[in-house]
Amino acid sequence: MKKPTSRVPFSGLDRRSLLGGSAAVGLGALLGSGLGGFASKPALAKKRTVHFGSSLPLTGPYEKVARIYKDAYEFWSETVGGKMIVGGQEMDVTWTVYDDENNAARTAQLTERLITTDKVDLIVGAYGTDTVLAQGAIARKHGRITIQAGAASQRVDEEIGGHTTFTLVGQARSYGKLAVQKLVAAEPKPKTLAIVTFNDPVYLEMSAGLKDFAAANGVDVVLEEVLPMKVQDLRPTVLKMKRLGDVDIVYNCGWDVICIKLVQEFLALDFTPKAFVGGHLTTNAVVKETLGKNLEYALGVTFWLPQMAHSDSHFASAEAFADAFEASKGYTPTYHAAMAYTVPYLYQQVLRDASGDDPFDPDSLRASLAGLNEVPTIWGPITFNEKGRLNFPGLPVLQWQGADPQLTVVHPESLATGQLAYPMPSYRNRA
Amino acid sequence: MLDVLLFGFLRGAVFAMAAFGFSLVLGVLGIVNLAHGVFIVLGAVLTYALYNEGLPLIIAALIAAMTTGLLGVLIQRLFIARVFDMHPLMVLVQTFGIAIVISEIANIVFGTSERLLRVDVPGLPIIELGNLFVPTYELIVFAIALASAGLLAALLRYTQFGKAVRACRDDLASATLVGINTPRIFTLTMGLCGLWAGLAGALILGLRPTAPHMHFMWTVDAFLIVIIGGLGSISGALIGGFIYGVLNFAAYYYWPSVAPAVIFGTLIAVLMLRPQGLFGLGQVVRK
Amino acid sequence: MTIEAVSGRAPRLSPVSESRRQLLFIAAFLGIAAIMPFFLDGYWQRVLIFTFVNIALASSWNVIGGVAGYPSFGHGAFFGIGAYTSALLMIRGDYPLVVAILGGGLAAGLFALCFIPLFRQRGFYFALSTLAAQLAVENIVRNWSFTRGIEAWDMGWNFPDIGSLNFFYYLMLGLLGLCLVSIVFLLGSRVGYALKAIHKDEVVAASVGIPTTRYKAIALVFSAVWPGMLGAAYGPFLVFISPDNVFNLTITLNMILIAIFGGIGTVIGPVLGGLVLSVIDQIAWANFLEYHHLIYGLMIVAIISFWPGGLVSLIAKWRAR
Repeated sequence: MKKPTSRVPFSGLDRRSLLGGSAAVGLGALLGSGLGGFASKPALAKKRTVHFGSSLPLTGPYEKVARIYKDAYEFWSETVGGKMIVGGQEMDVTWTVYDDENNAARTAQLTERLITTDKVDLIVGAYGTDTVLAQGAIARKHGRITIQAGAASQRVDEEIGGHTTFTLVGQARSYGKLAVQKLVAAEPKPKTLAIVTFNDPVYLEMSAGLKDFAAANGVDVVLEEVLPMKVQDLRPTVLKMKRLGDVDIVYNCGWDVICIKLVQEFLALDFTPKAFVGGHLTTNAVVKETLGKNLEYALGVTFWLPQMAHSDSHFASAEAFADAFEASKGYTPTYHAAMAYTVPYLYQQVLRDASGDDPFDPDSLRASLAGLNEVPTIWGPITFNEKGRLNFPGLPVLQWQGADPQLTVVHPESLATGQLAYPMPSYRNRA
Repeated sequence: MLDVLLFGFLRGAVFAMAAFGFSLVLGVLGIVNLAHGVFIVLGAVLTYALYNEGLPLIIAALIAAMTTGLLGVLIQRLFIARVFDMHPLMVLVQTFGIAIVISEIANIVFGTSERLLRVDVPGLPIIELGNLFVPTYELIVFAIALASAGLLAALLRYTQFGKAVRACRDDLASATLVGINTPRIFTLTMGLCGLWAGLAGALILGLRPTAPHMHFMWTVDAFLIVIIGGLGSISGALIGGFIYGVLNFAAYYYWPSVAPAVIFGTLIAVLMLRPQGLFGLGQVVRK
Repeated sequence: MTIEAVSGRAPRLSPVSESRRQLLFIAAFLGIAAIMPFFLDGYWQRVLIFTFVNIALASSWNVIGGVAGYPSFGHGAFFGIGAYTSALLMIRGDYPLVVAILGGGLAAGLFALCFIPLFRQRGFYFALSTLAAQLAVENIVRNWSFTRGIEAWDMGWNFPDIGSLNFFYYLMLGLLGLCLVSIVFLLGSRVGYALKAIHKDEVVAASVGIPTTRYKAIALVFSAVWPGMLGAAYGPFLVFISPDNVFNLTITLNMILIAIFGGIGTVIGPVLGGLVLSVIDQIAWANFLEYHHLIYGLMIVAIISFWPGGLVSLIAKWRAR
């Protein structure tokens, strides 16, 4: 079924790791993994298990988001009933997911472990730019491929994209495209834009894209505030906007807490732009919980919503996916869940009809993934460009509307559920 | 310019409040407590948790502050007392370890997310000062911080405990000689430090997002404030807080992306040029 | 405060035999480590490489922090500077690894000279000034377009693949060996005695004519050059570096912890400390996923509170029986 020589030099390495187990003083107990490799050896002759491997920042500040990824992997396994078809043959699915603490050195170690010790068949990407790049470097060394849904930076494309890594996140540069498009069509036409961004690749790429769209649409960027990632206080930033006077649009490239703080500082300083775009995490529950009615009129962009018209071979609609996910995991899936679920789903799609001696052969996997054309998934239709990056049209634009603000899609027309309310009334004059 | 000064100044009082305990401990015990930031974030996180359980905010804040005060007492009795006369390095590493342990427990029990509380004063959420708007809550926090400084200063000046604390700070050997129970004073000082820092944390919850993993940043901030203002007096810490508040606000206003470099560069410059602090009584650290 | 009080050991000016014993120990350690790749898979080799780097870093820190008694909390800066120098030389300049490693050491050494004015501080104040210096340097590296990356939005550097895992294993082991041997010779020399005298009582040392500032400067530069070289080799090993992974505060803290855990101020201490701590780390990580940070913290507190002399003092106590 597979060419032993092409992928797993099992005659050499396994014995070595076993010897290591007995030789390394004090390390013996830890080499259970080496034994695991041994246990799987007889199975090589007639393989019945597909082994997925991944690492996530399961402890530390990204713990919450990492849990969602892990839940989504589990949810996928539940959905397929723990089995998947590989080249016409049914196989069991197992997962190994390690904690990488969002530490690049640890991720490199763990990827080495997944490949050489655990001998996983398929690698699912890490979360975070540093860790995805560190993981990709190891995978590249071993000639393996990964599908990742955890880093949007262009650096990923340039270093590991296409040959090693396929990326399910769209280019950060186009996150704000549709929002700018929609706002410049509004009356009175906004003339100035202030960008709040962060000193990290993804955020800087986002604001670089925004500056391009603004220039193309005749909007002046009057402020691009690049803040350190650990910034605590946004009053200096909002004070600067207030001083500038005629700021029509404020666009937050940052995350949910920054969106909350910006609105609170708008309130505190009585500053109201014509439009405020809270960024791609405005839809997180904590934003509405904290801001309540003050969120009204705020705009956001989003990767994914259950009401989008996506489907895959298990779920007829994104809504159905969301309901099943909530029934299993107890919370409404965020876009992370849909994206992470799609990683094993894509492997499932390309492996189903795989042929040849070794369906897991990286070269054929790479070719199948590169050849995907508008494959329907819960995450949207999937096509990768030559850098292994998902082609995507830009992020739909939402607005919080009503006194108890509810999400309304205002752009693009195909998804719209309501009209853009613009400009927003002064915070002070609201009831 | 004026608004940068005003907002920095308003923030400064609560920064100072967060640093009073640090200053006292450094003065009296002669140690830098790297677990100091834990009192602040724990004060905030506990207040948030209790408030969400339905307690009134003020009660929640007081219970949180008393918990951190008790924690200070325990840390001193169980751990710091064992090593505080060793090389400073030992205390630094030990208290850092304590900080890791407590913040990890807080992560496990309360979760890692950043907490924010929007506190609006009913009826009058914003006060106009000239052409500036200031949230009423921030003025109240400012007033509480100033009042707490006054209370602490009075405590040190007029009570028996305060006299003993000052004796320990000025000359530990003589204080022991005249029969002051120094271990007890040390323990009470740490308790006071935890209490004040926890209360500051509760107030900060309404100003900045706070999470357990931010403890070290607060420790460093407290050190900065004490260094700028100079050791040994509540007024020194208060002045340090004001200067740091303005410096912090100005750095983020004028040079946002290199603000940390500006702030830490200033700290190093102060340490080199005026190690006793800008307004300090003199260097009282014995080690 | 003296080394003896810290480590609980009887004072002894290291006679020649002690140097020889230390060199023998180092040789035995290197010998065993050199044959390990024949028995270990990629993961464990990577774990060991990481352990070697940590031991070498802790040993270098030990010269200024343990022997001279100036607890630097900013030593991670030298490691980061080495890694970034290596990135600039190899990626911007296309130089070979050897040049990068020497350049990393040189850059860190030169930068250490800027730290010399901080010697006006002692104890807590020195520790926190050096910490502030590290944080400031990290912030500058993050923002300066020359250092931050190739493109304006980049944050960090991607090295080309230049060697196999085995190559890096022996490279790091070699650097560790050289580092340890150089420390034995340094401590056995006039500089070593001077540093111990400074630790014991700086005023007395100065009064008997020891040029304390000069010796402290030598110690600081020495203990910065090695982290610089290690950082320079570590960059291409990790392939991707950014301020988050090479200027991380945990790098500094690990140096200090390993030195204390093994036995501060001793040559053998950091080696033992690094090995044992990495075993404990692996066990904690493999078995108590949710709690391994907590375990790490508890261990620190327990060691300092109950065995401040570290492993070396425990062994000494046990042998004295």
